[in-house]
Amino acid sequence: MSTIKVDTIQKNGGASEISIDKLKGVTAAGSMLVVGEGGTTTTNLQQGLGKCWLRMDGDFAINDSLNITGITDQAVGNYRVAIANDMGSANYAATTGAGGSSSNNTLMNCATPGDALGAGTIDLDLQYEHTTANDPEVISLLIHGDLA
Amino acid sequence: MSTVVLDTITGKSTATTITIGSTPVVSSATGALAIKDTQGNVNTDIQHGLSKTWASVQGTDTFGMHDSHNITSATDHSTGNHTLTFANDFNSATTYTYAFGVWNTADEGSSSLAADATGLLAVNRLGNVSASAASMRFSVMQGSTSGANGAIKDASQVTATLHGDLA
Repeated sequence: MSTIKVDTIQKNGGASEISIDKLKGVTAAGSMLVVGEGGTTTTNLQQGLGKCWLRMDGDFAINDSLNITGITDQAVGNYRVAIANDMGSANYAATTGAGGSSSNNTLMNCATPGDALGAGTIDLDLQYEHTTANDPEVISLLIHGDLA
Repeated sequence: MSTVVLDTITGKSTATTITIGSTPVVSSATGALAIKDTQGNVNTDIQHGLSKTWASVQGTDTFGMHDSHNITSATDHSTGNHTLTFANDFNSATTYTYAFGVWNTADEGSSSLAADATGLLAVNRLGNVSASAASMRFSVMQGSTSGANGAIKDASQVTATLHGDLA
């Protein structure tokens, strides 16, 4: 165990920049504080990070994602998203968005069934006009919560 | 290129405070720390990118919190009418953003499309209650259909994520 006590770290040339690949807390590995925008109150770095996010289209293609291994097409408008590094429980906060067809301005809803939330998977149900399952043009998913 | 290999960096003057370049990570100075994006080019601001508050709330049966960050309490005022109270306030009542998710097992049954008589569920911040930097009051509503009126509802699960500047 080695410790360096210092007040300021700078890049060799003096720039305000350093390189590092992984951060963890000292007192608790999974908890680090950063000062908020007001300059006094702190907010928790790990708690504030989105742990999973996903954007996919109706052709069942992932456009981009974080911490997602894949999607299973279970039925029309019904997808199961597999999380790479599992959440700590099913009690995470998931918010979703969906875009209907631009040709008919359909009102599209994307919901996460409460009985189909898991630490390692999350189901998405898509519907429009409240009764018809549909594969939308765009789906977005964002999860905040504790990792396992 | 120089590299220091070690296990722990501790502030010399204050053990919990270090400064990288001119930017403190934990201190009473300005709260802004830049980090390179995944492409390695553009900087993004850590503080602005962090969710300052998130919550998963059970609205039906016994009202309560599943899990949360920066929340001291959740209040059940009436059917579909709830308040989240923040631990650390935002710096303004009108500048933070919010996104919601909602699910109601009773209406949707085993299938998301089980009940034709129910409209879409939606969550909105209550517009008839003054916005606050310390809390957010919101309502859960169900849209009307050709066969049923819309209504305020208690949903099985409501989630919220808030971004903005802390006080």
